[in-house]
Amino acid sequence: MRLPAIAAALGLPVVLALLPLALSNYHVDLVTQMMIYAIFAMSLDILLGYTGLPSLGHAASFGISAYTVGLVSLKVTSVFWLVLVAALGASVALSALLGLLAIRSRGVYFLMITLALAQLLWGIAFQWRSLAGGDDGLPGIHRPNLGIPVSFADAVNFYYLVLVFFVLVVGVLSVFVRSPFGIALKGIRESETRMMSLGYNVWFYKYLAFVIAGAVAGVAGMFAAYHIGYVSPADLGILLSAKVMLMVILGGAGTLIGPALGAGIIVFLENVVSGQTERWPFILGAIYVSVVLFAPQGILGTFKSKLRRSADR
Amino acid sequence: MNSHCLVVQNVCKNFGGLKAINDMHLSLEPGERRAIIGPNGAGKTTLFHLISGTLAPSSGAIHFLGREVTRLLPYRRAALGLTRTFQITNLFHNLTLLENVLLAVQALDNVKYSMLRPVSSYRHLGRRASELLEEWGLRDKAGIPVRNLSYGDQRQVELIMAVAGNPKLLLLDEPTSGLSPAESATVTEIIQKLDSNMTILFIEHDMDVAFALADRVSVLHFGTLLTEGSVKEIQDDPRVGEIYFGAEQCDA
Amino acid sequence: MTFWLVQIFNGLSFAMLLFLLAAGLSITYGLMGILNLAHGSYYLLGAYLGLTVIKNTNSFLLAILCAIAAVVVLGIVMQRFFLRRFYKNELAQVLLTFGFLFMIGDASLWMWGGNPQVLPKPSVFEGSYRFGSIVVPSYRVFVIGLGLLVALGLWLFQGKTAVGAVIRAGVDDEEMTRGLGINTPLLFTVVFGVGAALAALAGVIGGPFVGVYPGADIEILLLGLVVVIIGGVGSLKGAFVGSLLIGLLDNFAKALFPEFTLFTMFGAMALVLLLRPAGLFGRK
Repeated sequence: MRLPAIAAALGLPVVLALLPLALSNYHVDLVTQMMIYAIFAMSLDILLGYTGLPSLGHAASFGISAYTVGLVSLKVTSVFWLVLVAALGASVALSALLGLLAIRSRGVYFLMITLALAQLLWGIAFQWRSLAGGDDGLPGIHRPNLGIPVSFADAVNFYYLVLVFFVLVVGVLSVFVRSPFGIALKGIRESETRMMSLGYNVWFYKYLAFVIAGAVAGVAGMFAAYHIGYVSPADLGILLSAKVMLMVILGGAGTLIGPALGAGIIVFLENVVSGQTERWPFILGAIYVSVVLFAPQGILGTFKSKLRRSADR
Repeated sequence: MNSHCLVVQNVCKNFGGLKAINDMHLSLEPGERRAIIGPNGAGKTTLFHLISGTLAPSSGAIHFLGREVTRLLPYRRAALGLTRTFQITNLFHNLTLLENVLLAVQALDNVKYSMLRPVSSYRHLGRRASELLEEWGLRDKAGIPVRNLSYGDQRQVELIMAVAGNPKLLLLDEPTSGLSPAESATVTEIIQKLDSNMTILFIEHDMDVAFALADRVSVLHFGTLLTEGSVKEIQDDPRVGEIYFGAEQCDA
Repeated sequence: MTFWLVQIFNGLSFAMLLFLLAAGLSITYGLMGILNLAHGSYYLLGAYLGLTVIKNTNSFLLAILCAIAAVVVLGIVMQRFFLRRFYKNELAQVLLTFGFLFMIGDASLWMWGGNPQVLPKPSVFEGSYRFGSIVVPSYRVFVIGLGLLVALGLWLFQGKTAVGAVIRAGVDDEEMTRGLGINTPLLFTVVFGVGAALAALAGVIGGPFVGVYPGADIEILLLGLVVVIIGGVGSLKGAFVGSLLIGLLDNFAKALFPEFTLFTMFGAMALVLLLRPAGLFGRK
């Protein structure tokens, strides 16, 4: 790895760890939310940026984890480790099932079927009052109980809990995308036929990528549920799936860190702008349009190609 | 049956009502260099797709090294030692030359499923990739994205990818397509230097290249085998000239 | 028995709305490779604009004409200046048109407020007709009639005219059609405009019984997508059959098991995609 990247890799966790000392609880909370959605965006990048699978239903894995947190912690146990296993188990199981159905399609059909499957789940959540609370969702989710005398209802404590997982996810995924499996995914994105003729079982790679992406999205979904204490069908819906896709494209698909950045920006803007005006949806729409028209490679993508161009000279 | 490298038997391929390949027979000895020639639309590329596994035959059987592979998917044929190049350059365009070759090198290695270690930590992969690049004189271009390489270099990379795994049977789909005469000569030389134990089946439009490289030649016409023989036999056969140039001018 | 007939009737009228929306959506994607999610916005705008015109002039006909005119202009601007650049780049189209959907939806919220509204029916259709033992609102009959008329018109146009043949050819093979020297850019703009017009028309005529409210754009878009996917992209027949299926399914599901309507709809879409990945009448 190059020096600036190493410096960033070591420096960022330190900066993030020190941040709460300088910020108010409101801002600590905001950064927590940014990290949660950064995890979500990075998980989609695995699919979209690295494997070339544009999923418009990624919120399904996010949402099912959030709902599991709600159901388990409200009705069974609030022990964090058990909830974690249940939530991740749910998102892995769901993506394992959906993957079987979706992976055989490509391009726009993949887009459509992932949309359909996620909407299916959304429809179930929306109308199943007795189990999932219907369109009211599940309110009143308490912060996790880790079995230690620390209250995670405190913004700063919860921040550090999320930070630990955030650093873990970034670390693991950074190695993952550089691993033999990870570069194979890039190969698949570039040319499936070539990969097949070289000897790779392309379907299996895509399937595993789908499940892994679902698992990581589950981590994000879990913390999202804990963070606001509430889960609703919107956590499974098309609007969220489209938003996380925007985060990936804005930051730069296929760069891993780019999508994390994109997520941070969108979350930040959403919070700041919503506080000033009711017209956030309009502005968000304008961001979608602007990114596609002016920065389709995203922030990091454009940055990287500018670097490469100046290096070539 | 078992002494042959490849046996194509009674193979037919239909696309709806169109018979692209009709009752095809082909049999290759280990180490043989066989050229497939024929006018456009004769079915050469379709035949390649059938042998490589991209397409499944409508009927007939294909055996590779004594094993039936008729319906086997391409990635499994690769594992058995059957690889191919593509007529239209089919590389990983946005990846660097090194990454392209690494992907070829790790393709038949069990570490390809490894997720928690960077590929750079598997030194044997990097070494093999560097060796290959050195052999082909492309070592100093390792960090360049493949889409920025010259067309000639890209055609060479096509070859590198296919031979990286030391295949037993190599299918070359128009290896000199789009190359200048000088480049064609270079590629022809490279192919001649390939491991003599490697069986090579290639499609060529350039007759000079075809006859220079081949031991035997198979001529396809309208999806079926017109004739087959040594280079001299084919050069002397008036029917071959006919199918290319029409009945009036017979200039082989 | 009466119950079933009434349900079928209601389902058919809703199906006609879906058809108007889906026809444009399907042909636009099939011909131009443009997946335009803002089609839902055309519907929404059509309804809101129609509402405003009716409130000010009491003329349903004028409402239809104005709504269509305004939406067609918007649609053509969108296509010529924005969407054209992203032919076959579905990801960009999804994000771009999603953006437009949000912008138009929020602008509509700002202009017309958040309360659900219903368009008044034209007075000539305010009564009901009697068919034997069943009584149906005459407006619904009008909607079904209009829908069938449009369907017939489109089918004749596509099947019997030269331009229609060109469109069918274009859906089959765009490059070839271009190669034949046909002015594809003009053709595309016209087709896109017609699609937008149909969506706006659907908004206005749907207004009296479906109503218009924030979020209607996304709701109808999703249903439209379900229809297009089930029917097969680029197929007018598919859009028609798909709309009938979904319109009837939606109605029966709401009547028989209201807790599962959404599940039924998207379940049907997922099922079709799994068995026939290109839809019932699609290509590939």
